[in-house]
Amino acid sequence: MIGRSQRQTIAAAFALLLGLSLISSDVQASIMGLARYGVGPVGGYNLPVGQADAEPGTTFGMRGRYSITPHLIMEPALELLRNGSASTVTGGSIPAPSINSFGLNALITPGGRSKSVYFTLGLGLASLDVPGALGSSRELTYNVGVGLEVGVGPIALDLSPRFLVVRTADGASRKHLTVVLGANYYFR
Amino acid sequence: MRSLRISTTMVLGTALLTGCLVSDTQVFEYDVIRNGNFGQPLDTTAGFDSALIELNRIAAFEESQGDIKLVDRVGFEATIATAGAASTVSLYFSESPDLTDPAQEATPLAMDLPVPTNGRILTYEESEALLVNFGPLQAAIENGEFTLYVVSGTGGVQFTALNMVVTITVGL
Repeated sequence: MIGRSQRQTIAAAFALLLGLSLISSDVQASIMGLARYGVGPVGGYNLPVGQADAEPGTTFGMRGRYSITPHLIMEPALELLRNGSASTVTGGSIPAPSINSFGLNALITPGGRSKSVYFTLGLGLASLDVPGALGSSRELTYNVGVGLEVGVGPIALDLSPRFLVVRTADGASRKHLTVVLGANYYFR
Repeated sequence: MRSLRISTTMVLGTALLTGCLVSDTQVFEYDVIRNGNFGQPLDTTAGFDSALIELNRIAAFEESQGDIKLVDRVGFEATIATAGAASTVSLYFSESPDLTDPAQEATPLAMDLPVPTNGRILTYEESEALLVNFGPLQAAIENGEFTLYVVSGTGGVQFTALNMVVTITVGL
């Protein structure tokens, strides 16, 4: 579960980025509006959804950006999800599965490239490692989310909550809500 | 025509995604000593001992049983004592509760776990790495009922605590 302090941190980060987006629209337009390629690291929080054998953990990785049209940006992304262990009744530890995901996402920017809000849909493959007999397997992934990107100096900061679904069997999946902060550098 | 193709793709995509979204991964714990052996330790002094695993006795498991999509994980937590001498112990399982030679007749589950003179604790994490024949075990768990056999080497051992932890993914 997300604690009160974590909710406050996420809300503060959103408020900060919204504020920055209002005061830095000119800077941002000069970065994202003219640039076609971008790349940068991401890192943040992930909350397992409907998974009793995993506790909240971290997400980190790299994302690239390639602008196809002013309203459509393709985003290849490599992300590693690591979660905390669950506990048994007797206090023993159930190590959480780990996920290494590579996907291609489509970012839709309703206001064009110089605007900061986007929606995202993506498909990918994940290496899912369930400790124990099931072991490692390659699974199909889907994700959907929103994002907010603002120019700060020579880079753009990006805050994006996304819902990741890792398909594990017919009609079964492991799901994660991720909230990551990225720093993108755009090549002119 | 193009919009029809797009709509069909979206409908199929949504159906596929929805099928995945409504699943839930659940963990169940079964106290083998209390529920499967009337509260008595499993004692292999006579060579082996057994306990009935009735996962259906867990109401939440019984409710989910028909909707199991995947048995994700199985592990054990155990406290094992000896009669004074070091030994080894192996776990087997079978649908039959009346086997006379489980080492020959049942399906191996974890083999030749060393137990030192002063006994040992088996953690969930250790047990997950020991399991073999996971496919047949998945089928037995979906069925909800089977018999667990513990077989020791010379000396005999006592399981004074044995907790079985099962993780399943249920589709709704």
